[in-house]
Amino acid sequence: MSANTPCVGVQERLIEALLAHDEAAAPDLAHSESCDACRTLRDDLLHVRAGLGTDAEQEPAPAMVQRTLLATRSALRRRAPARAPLPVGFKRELARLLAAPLAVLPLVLLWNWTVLAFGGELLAAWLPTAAIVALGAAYALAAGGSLAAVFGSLPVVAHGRTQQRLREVTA
Amino acid sequence: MDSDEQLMIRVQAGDEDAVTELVTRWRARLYGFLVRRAPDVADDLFQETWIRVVRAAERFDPSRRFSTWLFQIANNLCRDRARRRAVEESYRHSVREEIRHDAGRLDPPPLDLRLDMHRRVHALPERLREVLLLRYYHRLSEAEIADTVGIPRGTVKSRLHHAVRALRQQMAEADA
Ligand SMILES: [Zn+2]
Repeated sequence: MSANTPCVGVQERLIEALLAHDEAAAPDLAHSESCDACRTLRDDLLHVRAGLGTDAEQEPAPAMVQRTLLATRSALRRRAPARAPLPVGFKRELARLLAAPLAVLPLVLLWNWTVLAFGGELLAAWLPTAAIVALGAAYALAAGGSLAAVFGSLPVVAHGRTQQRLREVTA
Repeated sequence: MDSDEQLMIRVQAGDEDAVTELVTRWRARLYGFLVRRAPDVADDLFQETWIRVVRAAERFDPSRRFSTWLFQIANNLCRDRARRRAVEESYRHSVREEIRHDAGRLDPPPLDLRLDMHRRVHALPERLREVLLLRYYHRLSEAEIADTVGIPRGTVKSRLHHAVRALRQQMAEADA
């Protein structure tokens, strides 16, 4: 069998067919008929196949299955009552959701700072200082609160979306 | 009916019935694998595998196939056990010596082809045996075996071919 005969390929495919429980392809069988080396392999593989059988399953003793079930149950109960694990893909989803809000955050902060700094000066002509301070504080609280609400909700949204996707994948 | 992966999500939440269902579904396939992979300790490793499944449940990624993960755990346990018991030593003997040795121990001598092959598979070096069992009996794809055993896909293929040729060689030598 030299490198320029088809035997190498034929023999590889005969083995692949055995591994996949398939019949060998007709051209390979035809070649084997007229080639000693490949015919010998084909015949040997029939023996190997017959010897291996196909039965992947073997029934364990029922008593052992029962013991196993008891052991797994107690392992399940003993397992640290850990907080629910973060679903797979959560971090990626959160990073994706954070990208846009983080990008505009500097602009939002700059805007709020401008309002506080120059708004106070403008209003000074009409309102007493105490009222301006109160207004400024209320504005800062409202702005800070909405930022916290936006960023605080993102992990919740990311968690929900990831779980939804996992349900779809495994449905 | 829940898929294996959905059952694992329930196991992650501590559902005992889901564990029972998985054990029931997979018991014969897992035991069949262990009996061929590590016959002398198959019973121990059967229980050990399921305990690991429960303990490591939170690390299971439900977008992966449960079967690959289960065989990965079982196969790793077989490897650990083999290492601990230094069974590796005996695998370094030539396959032929192994068979002669076994044949001398088995009594009475006439064996049917199946039993013979069972011994030959067992006499294969561990790295060949694990891929052969997963591919031939449990019909995992080469990619799934690569994932399960932790070796490149090309290596899976070459080991599979090597395993079949080794079995063939053994048969030829036994006939001679
Ligand atoms: Zn040929």
